[in-house]
Amino acid sequence: MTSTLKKYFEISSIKIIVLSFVGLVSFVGIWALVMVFIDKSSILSQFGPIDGASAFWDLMTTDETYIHITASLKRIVVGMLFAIVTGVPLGFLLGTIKLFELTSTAVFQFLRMISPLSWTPLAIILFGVGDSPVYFLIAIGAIWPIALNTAESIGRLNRGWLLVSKTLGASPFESFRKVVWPATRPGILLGIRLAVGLAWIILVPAEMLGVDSGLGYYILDTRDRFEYSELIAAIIIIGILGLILDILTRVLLSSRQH
Amino acid sequence: MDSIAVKIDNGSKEYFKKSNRTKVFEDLNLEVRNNEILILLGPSGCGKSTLLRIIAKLEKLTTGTITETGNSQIGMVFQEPLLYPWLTAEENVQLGLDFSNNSKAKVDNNSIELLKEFGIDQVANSFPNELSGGQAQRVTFARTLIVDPGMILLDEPFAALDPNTRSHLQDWLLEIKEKRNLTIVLVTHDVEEALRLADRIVLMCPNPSKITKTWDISSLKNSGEFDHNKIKKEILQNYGPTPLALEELAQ
Ligand SMILES: Nc1ncnc2c1ncn2[C@@H]1O[C@H](COP(=O)(O)OP(=O)(O)OP(=O)(O)O)[C@@H](O)[C@H]1O
Ligand SMILES: [Mg+2]
Repeated sequence: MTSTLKKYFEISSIKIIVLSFVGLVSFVGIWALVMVFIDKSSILSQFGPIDGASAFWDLMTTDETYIHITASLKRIVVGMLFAIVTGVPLGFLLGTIKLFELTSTAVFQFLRMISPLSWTPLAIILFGVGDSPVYFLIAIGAIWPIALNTAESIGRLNRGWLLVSKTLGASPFESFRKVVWPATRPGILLGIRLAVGLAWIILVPAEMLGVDSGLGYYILDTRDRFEYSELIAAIIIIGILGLILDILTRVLLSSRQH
Repeated sequence: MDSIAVKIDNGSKEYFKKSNRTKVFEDLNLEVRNNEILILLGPSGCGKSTLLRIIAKLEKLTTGTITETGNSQIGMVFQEPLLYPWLTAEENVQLGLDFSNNSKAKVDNNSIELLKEFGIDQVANSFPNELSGGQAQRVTFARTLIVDPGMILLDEPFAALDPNTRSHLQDWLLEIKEKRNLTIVLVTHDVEEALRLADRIVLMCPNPSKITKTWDISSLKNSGEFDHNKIKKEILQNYGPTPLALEELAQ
């Protein structure tokens, strides 16, 4: 694990860190500059970075914020678990059974192109209100990158590798554990990484429907209270958490073993 | 010495794909004797690799019988190295010891010693894409031999190597064969390689493939009747009208 961390941070050298920082600062600078030209009486003037930053610090010291963050993260975790336990086996089937792949590809490509949020009414009819429809919406969006990347990694598996393990005396289970799994793991992990990013994007609008916690809910709540600087702060939190989630999945799911 | 390790009687092999039927070989009779190097020689597509896969029990004959008397494992070195790219050279070699079938070999064999014996210990921690062709081939041999097979099947193991490395590894193969009492079936296109390594040479010709002729090289050598050029000419004359054979014959 530590070596993975090292490898990851070796790639992002000082130069990259400095340039990223410069980019972020310029972005906020331009944002502040645009705000200067906005009429103080307009609602838009409350969407500036300075108000947002101070609201951000206020929020970070409020317990309630963490309740929303925890609720959101829990939904991501549960939704992703559903997506993984269905997506990986589905990918294995797609990658192994040619006939299944041929018959199902059109259907899956079709389903994949539907925005997960289109399922909202159905999700609510099926699961009522509460966490369950949110899990469903996340899972149904996240399943495709996982299934398709799993299937692709199985397609790339060299059949010869399995003949080798067989002549070395491996049982089918041993061949799976020592050959199929390490060979397909990078593809599966890549699929999960892409899925986490997607899940995070689906989460916020999904939480705007019928739940009373989470960052998506919180955005609507600030709007209803006309607390626009808090709204900006919530958006900042969503962005930062998304970034952390992405870095974490990259590090944790890094496919290098050595 | 001459006891039989594998015997194929009236073997035939066909592949069925959709409406297509490929007859690879028919009426094939072959025996592999213990502790010999049997060379399978023949032009491309005549079914040499298929025959090796059948001996290795990776595939079945369509008709006919195959009898294997030895009870030890059969190792195979394939036409491509097929090293596992996510494992280092040493881990590739060790892999077979993780399989429960080979718990005895695990006690007897040590991958680092094997790597040393094969002259590749300095690349133990390299990944397959960092190895030269010759090194990769030695690693595949070590991977095959660590589980103590009594017989190894080699599918054109030296074809992709430069002439120097090839000749070096041919000598090396003869050495490890003696040291480990191996029975070897080796497939090649290369008549010189066949003459250099063989105890016996079996020539296959295509369409439909059969065994055309067999030369017992070691008994010819023992009786002092071995004439390199004469046998080479005989082989090339029976090789079938491939450009390679005609070219070599003209020389
Ligand atoms: N799995 C398979 N399905 C269908 N046909 C096959 C299969 N494997 C081999 N064949 C066919 O069987 C014939 C013999 O193939 P094989 O690979 O055994 O030849 P070979 O003598 O090893 O050739 P080369 O010297 O080029 O390696 C070829 O016509 C090939 O197309
Ligand atoms: Mg072949």
